[in-house]
Amino acid sequence: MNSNNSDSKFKSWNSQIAVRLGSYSLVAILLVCVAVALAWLIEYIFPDWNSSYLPWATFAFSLEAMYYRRIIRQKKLSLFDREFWLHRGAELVVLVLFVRIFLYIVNGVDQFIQDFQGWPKNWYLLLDDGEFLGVTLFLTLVWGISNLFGADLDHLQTHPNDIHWDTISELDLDRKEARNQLVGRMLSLGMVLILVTVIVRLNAGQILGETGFSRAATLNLLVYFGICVVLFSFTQFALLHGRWYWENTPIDGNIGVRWVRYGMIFAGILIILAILLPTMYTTGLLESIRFLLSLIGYLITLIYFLYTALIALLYGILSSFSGREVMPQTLELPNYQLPGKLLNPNDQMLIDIPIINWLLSLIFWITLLIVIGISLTHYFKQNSELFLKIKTMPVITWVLSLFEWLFAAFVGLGGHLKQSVINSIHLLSNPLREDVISRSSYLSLRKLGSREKIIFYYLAFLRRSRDIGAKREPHVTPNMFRNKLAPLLPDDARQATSTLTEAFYTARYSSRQVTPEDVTPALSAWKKLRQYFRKLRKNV
Amino acid sequence: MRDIFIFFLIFSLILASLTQDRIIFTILYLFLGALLLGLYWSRKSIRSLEFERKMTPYAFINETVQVDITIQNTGWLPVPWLKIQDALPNEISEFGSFRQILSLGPKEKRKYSYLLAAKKRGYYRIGPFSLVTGDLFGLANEIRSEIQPEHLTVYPRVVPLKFVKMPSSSPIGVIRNLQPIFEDPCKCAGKRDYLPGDSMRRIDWKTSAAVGRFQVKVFDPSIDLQVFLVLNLNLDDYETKFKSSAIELAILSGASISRWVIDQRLAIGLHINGIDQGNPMRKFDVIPPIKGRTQLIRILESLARSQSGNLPPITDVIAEYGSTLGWGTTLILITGSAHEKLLDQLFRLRRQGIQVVLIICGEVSKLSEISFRAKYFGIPVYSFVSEKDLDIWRR
Repeated sequence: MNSNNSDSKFKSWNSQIAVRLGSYSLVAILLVCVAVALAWLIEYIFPDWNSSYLPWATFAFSLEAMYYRRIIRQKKLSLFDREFWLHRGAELVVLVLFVRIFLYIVNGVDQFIQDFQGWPKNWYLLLDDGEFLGVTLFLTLVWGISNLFGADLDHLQTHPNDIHWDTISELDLDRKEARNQLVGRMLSLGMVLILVTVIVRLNAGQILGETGFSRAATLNLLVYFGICVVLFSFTQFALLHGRWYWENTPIDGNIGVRWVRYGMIFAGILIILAILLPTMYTTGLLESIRFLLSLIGYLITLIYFLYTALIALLYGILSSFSGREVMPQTLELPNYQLPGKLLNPNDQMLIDIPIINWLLSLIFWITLLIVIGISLTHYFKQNSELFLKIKTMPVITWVLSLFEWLFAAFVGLGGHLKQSVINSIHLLSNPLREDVISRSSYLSLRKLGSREKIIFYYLAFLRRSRDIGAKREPHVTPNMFRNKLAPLLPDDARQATSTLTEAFYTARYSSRQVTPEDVTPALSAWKKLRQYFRKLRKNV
Repeated sequence: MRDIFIFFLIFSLILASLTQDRIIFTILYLFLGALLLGLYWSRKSIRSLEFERKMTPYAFINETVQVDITIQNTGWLPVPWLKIQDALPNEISEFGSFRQILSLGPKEKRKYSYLLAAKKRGYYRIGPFSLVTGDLFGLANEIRSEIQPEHLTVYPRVVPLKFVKMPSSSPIGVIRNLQPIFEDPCKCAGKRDYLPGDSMRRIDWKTSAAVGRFQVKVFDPSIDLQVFLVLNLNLDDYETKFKSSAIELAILSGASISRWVIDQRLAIGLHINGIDQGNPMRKFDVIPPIKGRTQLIRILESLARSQSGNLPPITDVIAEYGSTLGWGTTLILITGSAHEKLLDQLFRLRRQGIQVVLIICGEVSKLSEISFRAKYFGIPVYSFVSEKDLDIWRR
């Protein structure tokens, strides 16, 4: 078992390294997306400048920054170490040199030769270049952001040396905080990216042409935010992995691989869905609601028609058993039409709207309403006192109770309809069975005898227990059920269960007369249990 | 994390409304989809999990019990991560709780097993089995579900006894008795010549015809032993210093005597003045005297579940159940000490025709005084300080 455990730990450790390398590359691609948008903006401002190399340079800088940061971290160098400044200084020189050479390669060797001749006199010519300074400034920014991302990613990794039992909870909080920072950075950068893209799109035609740029910008944004979603997944894995590692919980070796696979698949599905979903609407909100209600009306009519047809069929079959002739009856689907036309406000003429446009508009409005709903929920969760105050206002209370009533009625109607259809199908499959027809569920407790009353209370107790998840299986005796339930109940409820069970045994199995005096303790026990179950359901 | 996320959604919504830009709507859909998927996924995952724990609910001391756990994802959506944990008592588990992190693909089933070592008598709770899962993106809260615990009963140790000297006044049984008062008509020892006064029923007509003179059957005397064991686990009746070992010894003695009685094909009943860990009322029901192996298992189960505590005095228990015992029954009381009131009560029972045996487990300060008084009342007293003392019945 030990060898298996260490083997699985080794595998999961490898998967963690794979996730880390993947995360570094993804962060670099994120920054490339930003660089692409920025390049568009620069090209828009300075049309002569060819900035196509900027994304590549960004990718290289970003990876270098995160890699080098890790090396310094592994050497455990602090800001006060001389070696730290030596490493950073060397890195700076190499990077500046890299930018300079890179620009020479991109702009042509002529520039290099010209500068090379002037250097002995004016060495500062090396720096006296607007493009060089601008690119260096941008890449320095990339370098800094990559370092921050790298710090967060490293913070999320699990290090065996971090395990100190007294600080584990603090460490876990730190790591959560690191993840929040990372997500915050990604989304903040995303907002900047959106703003830049929107600004450039306003004059898009001048750069790439309307369609070409629109596609490129959509792709760039989708890649960025798609990677964000994947990174959410990776960082969540890193966070959880650390916690499991410290808890010394055995981890399945394949969990990392599966995590990456699922993360990619679901991010892909989300991206495809986001592309496919409508981004514009042809009909307004109220018109869309009208369409929705019409659609529901149509579906109800259709169900009613099917139900009537089923009853007619059933009637026909039963009549054929009795030998009577049945008059043939033709059932017709009601002529119900979905809204297909809309009044054009400009010329007051009816225009045809294809059903797909209705549906797309509906999806659009539903999405917007969900966002608003989530935002409101979040706001009220943050300000729960305000929510409680609003909830207690008389008008709101009345509206809420009305809504609850309507909702319950709707759910009840749906349930009855479903049950009726199921019963009809059962009856059709076996018309001679009587028990499939549900009998009236109304029961007058007053008309019941003492014995039946106790049985009723016990059955009600079983129903309530089932509702809270403690179902009595058919093979379980009342005594066994009482014993099973006992550890879950407080003392008084346990006592009540016992009283009710004993009363049930007497009522159900004994031949002695059950008097109203026997009902009283059973009733009080049932009331106590009902109260307890209600409280439990509220808490749940 | 969700705060930042929702802020971003609101930002995108506002920007989308202002600019009417399709791209932003696409991004909005992407993030809204991730949030909704995260929320739906974790809830769906926990609902589609099926769990089964297979184990033998009973074990004898020093046996190993294998617990097989099967967990299956019945849905089509994978469970990206799942933490399972089965809470186990330290007494039977060497590694603490059973824990595992796993990932389940659609319709995938996993099996795990672990061993429990039944080292000590008891009624152990296995579980609850908890499942914790969440979404891939960390947007939804972790969801936990718990499955009801099961129990493992570890029977107490039983010492095989050869002969336990128990007084009984019930005639006609299976144990030979030297006092020729109760003759068993099923146990014919031989024949002899008829003497005036012999019952006509005793005449063996076939032998008489063969011999030519009246012959009567001679029967072996025997006694029946119907035993009712009362085990007192009231902490007040045990010496504080040795109570733990004394209580275990009392349970061991009870289990061993029960086995011997059942082996003799006699009836035995039990009442424990203790806490029943398996009963929600925490009280033991009386096991009426019955013969057979099933009865032994019933008794061992009760002994396994028993726990000491601050309970009603043993005199109350004897007063409650003593009157229900039949004439000739042998009452064996296993306790930690015996005070005057208890001895008086036992003597009263003896006068009612119930044979009483007193077994005192553990160190007792006034043992000689108790023995003297008990002997005066005609109650045999056995004192066991350690398991070795049971050897008197093993020879």
